[in-house]
Amino acid sequence: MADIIFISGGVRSGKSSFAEKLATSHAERETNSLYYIACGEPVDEEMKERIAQHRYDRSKASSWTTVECPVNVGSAAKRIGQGGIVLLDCLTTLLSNELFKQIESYEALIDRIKCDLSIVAEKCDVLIIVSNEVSFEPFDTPLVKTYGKLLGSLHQWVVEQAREAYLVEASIPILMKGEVIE
Amino acid sequence: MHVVTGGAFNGKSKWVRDYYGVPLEWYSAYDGTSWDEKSFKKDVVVLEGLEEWIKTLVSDQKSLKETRRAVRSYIEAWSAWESGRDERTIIVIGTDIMKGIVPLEKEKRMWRDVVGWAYQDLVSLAERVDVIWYGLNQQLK
Repeated sequence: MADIIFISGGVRSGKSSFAEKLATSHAERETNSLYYIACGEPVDEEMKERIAQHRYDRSKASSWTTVECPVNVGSAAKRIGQGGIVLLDCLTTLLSNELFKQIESYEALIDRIKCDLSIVAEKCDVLIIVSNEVSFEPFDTPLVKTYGKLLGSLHQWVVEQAREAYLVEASIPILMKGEVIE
Repeated sequence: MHVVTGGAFNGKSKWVRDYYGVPLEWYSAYDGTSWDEKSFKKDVVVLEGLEEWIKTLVSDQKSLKETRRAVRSYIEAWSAWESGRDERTIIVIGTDIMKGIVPLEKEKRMWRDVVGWAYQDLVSLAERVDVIWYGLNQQLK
């Protein structure tokens, strides 16, 4: 079972670049392969641009194998080599993609996502999960509230499983759980 | 007084239940129960959903000052009830709703203002304050 690292933060807080740096340093230490599970789907121009930017940033740094996986993230495990360092970006996108499909019940969906994440964690050495902060303002619509509730429950579960958890504020990672071994 | 805050759906109530581990007298604004200290029976009382409860006191018919005063008088009454016996503790759980963009509508603005002030007033009276982040607590006071 992999060591799970949870990284959360606001939009453009630098959480992805911190996650990539962390993954790279783990890979260098253990000479593992780097895998990037991309949950974003290039549905429009803005999304295409964001994905291109993320791809460019990664290509500068190290050799990543990108696994596109907008839903059913457990299926990505097949495309990951044993003992790799895996970065999943990001849980919020995964949850919205799953919600837009025909779903079972909300509880069943959350259980399935947890199960999918566990399948990936079984395969690799380190699993870094990136997500967004849920909310610090009232929910406007019942749909947004449901989304917040589901995401919040997933976050609580991931943090419980995690060896380390970070909140990234303006590119500065704050360690919320665990100890960093230098 | 013990104040527990943090973002929505971060596991604040679950943390309170696990942390205290004793039967708690639980009042939740999410199911609309009254928060009158005269009805408290046990020594340890939880008031969950302060922001939602305050929402019921806010209306554009009342001034900000008036509303704040009303909330304050409740807080003072809880504090007085608590000091009636050494064993008494009130745990207030409130969601942080104050970090978004300030809305245009007066009533929505007032709601955030009054909630923010209430947290400040409560924290000044509290012996302990915790912020919960996905089940983890950070003790601020």
